[in-house]
Amino acid sequence: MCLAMVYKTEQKAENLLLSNVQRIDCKDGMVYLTDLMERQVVIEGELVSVDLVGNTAIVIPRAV
Amino acid sequence: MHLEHEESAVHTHEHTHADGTVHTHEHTHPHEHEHGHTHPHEHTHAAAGCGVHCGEGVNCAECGHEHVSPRQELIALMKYMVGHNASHANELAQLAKQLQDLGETTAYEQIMLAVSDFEKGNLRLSTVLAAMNA
Repeated sequence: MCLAMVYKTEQKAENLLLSNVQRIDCKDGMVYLTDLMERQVVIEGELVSVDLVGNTAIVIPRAV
Repeated sequence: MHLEHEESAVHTHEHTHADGTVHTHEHTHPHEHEHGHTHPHEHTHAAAGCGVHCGEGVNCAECGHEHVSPRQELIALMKYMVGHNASHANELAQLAKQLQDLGETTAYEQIMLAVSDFEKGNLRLSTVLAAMNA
């Protein structure tokens, strides 16, 4: 598996949440993104797609 | 936005007594409440890969991100890629073996040559990595 770029809502540069993501965990309505350096970004929302060839993933944040 | 305040503030308050008399008092009280540090910083973690803007919804001291130098980050990425390339080389070799089992001997031989080239390139990368870590 390659490292992934994770975007919010749609794949656009300005929507990049985290790059070089090595791990994605979903738990209790939260999406936990962890990069190669073990930094973590947590988003309340849903992982909606993962492109294993393009190495991208999309997260839709939960509407407040 | 960062709000500046005097440490003590003078106020006038108007109030009405039960008998209808209206007074205006002036008093001073210390400015006790704290203001959050809410203005955005102009730098981002994007260069480090996380894309989170400092100060935007997080306190820099509490954001939990370890600040590493770009060099450290690139070395880590390089190390990952060297390992990753080795995995891909193995996958290609397995693919070639399956082609050989199907009787595709020429394809097998060509792919194994490519794997060999791939491994040579990766060896060069790992040498660079070792030199950078030295």
